[in-house]
Amino acid sequence: MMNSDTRLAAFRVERRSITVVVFDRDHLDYSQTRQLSSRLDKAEDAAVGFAAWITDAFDIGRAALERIVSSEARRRIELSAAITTLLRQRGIPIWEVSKRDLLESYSIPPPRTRTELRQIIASLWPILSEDRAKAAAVMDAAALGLYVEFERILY
Amino acid sequence: MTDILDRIATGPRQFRPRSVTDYFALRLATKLRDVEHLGAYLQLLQHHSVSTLAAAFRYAAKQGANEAGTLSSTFLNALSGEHQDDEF
Repeated sequence: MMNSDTRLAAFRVERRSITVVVFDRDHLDYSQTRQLSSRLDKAEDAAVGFAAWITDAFDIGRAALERIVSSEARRRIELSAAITTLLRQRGIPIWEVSKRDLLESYSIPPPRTRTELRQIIASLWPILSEDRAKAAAVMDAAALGLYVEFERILY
Repeated sequence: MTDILDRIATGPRQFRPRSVTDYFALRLATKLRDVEHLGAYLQLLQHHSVSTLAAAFRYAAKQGANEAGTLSSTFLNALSGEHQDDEF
């Protein structure tokens, strides 16, 4: 039986997709990307449904989302807010991480871009770069999830 | 071991993790404000689990800097002591 205390879902929200990577402690257990409708209402329903399925199927005990700043696309903010609402309704603790904190944690000197960060993530989990169509979002979610897992135990 | 030393031979100004445990070592050294000794933390991971090092860190963080004045020395004392019973 899974222990919900050990499982984290790290979400990467894009304009037209949502990606999740599930961690069991520092072990990357599962990843999935779902494409979203161009219509915001349908996209929100699909994103929330996807997040609900993930939390049920993997008995998720905590979640991670990257903090989206207001200068970025409004659609991403609204999709993230819908997922956040669902997670809070389910009593799942949420870790919000800034892009800056994420980048600064990964190397010396820190990666300057997401592309550089993804190169590091690809060396940690080479399998993630195999599906080129989904690789970037999955690696972004994996970077976020591992950051949170180590932040959690090094408090 | 040689591989690790090779990777840090350029000094702690340059380090790029190649494994999850490499990344943990970087995070641990950063939290302990001891990145200049990153190589030592990489070597610790050859002898201790992530959970053991994390437990020692949490103990050290609660205790604060010891008489030697550094959090890292508190951490090393904890690691050599009996404060390894936390679970990851």
